[in-house]
Amino acid sequence: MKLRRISAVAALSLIPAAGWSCPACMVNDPKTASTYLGMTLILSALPLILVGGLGYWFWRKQS
Amino acid sequence: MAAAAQASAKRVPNSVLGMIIFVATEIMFFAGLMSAHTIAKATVLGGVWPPAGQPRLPVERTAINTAILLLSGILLLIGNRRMSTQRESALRYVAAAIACGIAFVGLQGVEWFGLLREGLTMTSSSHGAFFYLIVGAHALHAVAAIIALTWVYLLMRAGKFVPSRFAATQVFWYFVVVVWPVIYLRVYL
Repeated sequence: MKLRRISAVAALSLIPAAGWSCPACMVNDPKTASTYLGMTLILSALPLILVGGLGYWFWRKQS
Repeated sequence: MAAAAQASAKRVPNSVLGMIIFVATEIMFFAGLMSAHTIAKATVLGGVWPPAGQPRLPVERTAINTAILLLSGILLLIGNRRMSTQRESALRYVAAAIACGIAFVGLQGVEWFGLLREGLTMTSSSHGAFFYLIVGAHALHAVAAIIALTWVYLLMRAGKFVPSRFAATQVFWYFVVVVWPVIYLRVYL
């Protein structure tokens, strides 16, 4: 039963040529794709920079 | 005694810390708006931004307005430097900073009036929607900062100077000043 289930899931996974979690990120236009990538990088890094900057400022103020 | 004074000097007032955390969330808010705008700009049909038939933004006039806002930031910085030694002179600089802020918001209002008359509205295109959303959000922050700074200024004039309150208001004002050139570069140019 378990083997049959695993085989069914494995078979289903072969059906789509590519299953992207975000279809917009894989657009044909390289400019659009790079814009998405750039914005993803900026928005991912920004909170870390803000929290890190605040922590660094505290550390400098205390030392 | 000296150690206690040193520790007190190192301590960050609660109002300033709270304002810094608030400004950090505001930076994320504006970053989200700018990100959406950048993607909309990159994916527009035909690759032309602003879309055809939409009015162009007044780049030169807004550049002057940007200079006025930056000047207000500099004036406030000078006012802060003079606050401990030359109180009267410092208050004049703070008043000038408030006046520059009011001039900035007023000129933005004039600009909006012109653009509305040319047909750029929230619903005319994604260009208009993004413009009023991003610039409008900034204008709201500028108005809030002007009100806060005016309140602190009036208290200081009345002899009720609270350094932490003034510092927290400055943090917010510098945020309004510094975020604007980024908006100008991304939205107007």
